[in-house]
Amino acid sequence: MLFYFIYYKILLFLIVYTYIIFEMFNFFDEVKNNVKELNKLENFNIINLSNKVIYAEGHKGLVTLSKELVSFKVKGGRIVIEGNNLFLIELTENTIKISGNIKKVESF
Amino acid sequence: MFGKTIFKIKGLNIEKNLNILSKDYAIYDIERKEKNITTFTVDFRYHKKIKKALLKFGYEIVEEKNQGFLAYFSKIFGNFGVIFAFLLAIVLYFVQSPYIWQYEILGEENLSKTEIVDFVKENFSSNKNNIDPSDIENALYSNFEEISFVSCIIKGQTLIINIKEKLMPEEIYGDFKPIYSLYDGKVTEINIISGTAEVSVGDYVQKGDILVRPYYLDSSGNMQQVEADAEIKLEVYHTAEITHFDTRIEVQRTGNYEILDEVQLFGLTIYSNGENPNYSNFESVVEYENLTDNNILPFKLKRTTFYELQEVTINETFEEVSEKIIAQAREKTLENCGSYDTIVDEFYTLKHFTEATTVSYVIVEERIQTNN
Repeated sequence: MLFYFIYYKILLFLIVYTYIIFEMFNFFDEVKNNVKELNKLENFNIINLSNKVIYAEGHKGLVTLSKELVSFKVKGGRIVIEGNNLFLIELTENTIKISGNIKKVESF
Repeated sequence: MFGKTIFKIKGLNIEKNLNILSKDYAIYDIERKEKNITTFTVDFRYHKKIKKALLKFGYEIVEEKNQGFLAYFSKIFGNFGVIFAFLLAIVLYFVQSPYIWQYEILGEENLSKTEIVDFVKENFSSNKNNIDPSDIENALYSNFEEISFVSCIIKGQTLIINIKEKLMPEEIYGDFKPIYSLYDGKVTEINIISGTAEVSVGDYVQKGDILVRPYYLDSSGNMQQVEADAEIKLEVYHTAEITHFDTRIEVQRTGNYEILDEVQLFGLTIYSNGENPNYSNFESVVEYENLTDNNILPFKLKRTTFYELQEVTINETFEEVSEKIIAQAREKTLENCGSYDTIVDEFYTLKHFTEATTVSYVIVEERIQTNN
């Protein structure tokens, strides 16, 4: 029984892995597909999910972190996010994921 | 993630240092609780490096919590006591594994296990690498004439010896002990099954005397050992005496009594309702009663009853109470008898002295003595 369970898990993993290798696409690349000024769109990418989660690629470093305000540097400026109960779900070298009640996202 | 570490740190300028850390490690759930208090989560695998970096940055680590499968095992195997015990167990296992620790003997009937095990222990090493089961088989076969077949195997750390014994006459396993008399009495009947009778019918024997010896003389006059077996009937005499005095002084209770109650704790009297009575002669009976059910404060009631005594001179001739005295003598004699069913005779004798008579009661009991 355990053997079949492990066998099907491995099989499922191989199918998913194959799909990711051959069919994976980047969401931001899809969005940029029909835009003419493509060279200006390489700095950073931000998405806002229902004012609850902000996901950003290409940040250059966290500047401010508090419950009401989170700001980080991007190439050519700074992004400021205001809201309530803000906190960072994830912070890596070039991505940042912020959660909370987001009221305002500004770029300077 | 198999495990995670939650850090709660105290210090300022956290943004700059988080940026530095995030270049090498992913950081999760970063929350600034207060101006100088921040919590965040990292992968357990990197918690030591991150902790070192935080201390280098000058932060005070208020709390560090390790969670998850990896953290749990790291905690166990990071304990020097557990590691030492584990290593010691492995070492001990390998040290003792080549040795035989258990001997299992199968199929023995007349031979004793201890005898065989002692023989093997004395003549062969307990190291499995130095012994050959076929050598043990040969040695056992050569040294024990009772063995007709033997096989040995080593299974794990157990040496299993399976033996098949020869069919030998029962006589050679006998104890060859004589039958001793268990009673003082007179021999009335002897039925010898094997052995030589040492007594004859009509002999008086004492406890411990030899009744049957464990041998017989064959036709050549040689002594041959056999198991002593016989059924010998003995008449055993039980006696008891009671002396009656025609004039005697007896101490009797007058009927007056007084009760003294005392409450005690650990043997010390806490309360008493009176004092000892002013009787010139008295006897006392003491009874204890628990006043509480617990052992914390075990209060006890000690009740002492004092009975007043007086000396009474009794004038009574033997003829007046002869039946009673004889019955008492019989009861006293019966205390030594095994069973009423084995009584074959009983009688008594009277010895008269000046103002005294002694009753000697005798009960004759039949006992059967065997080698058991």
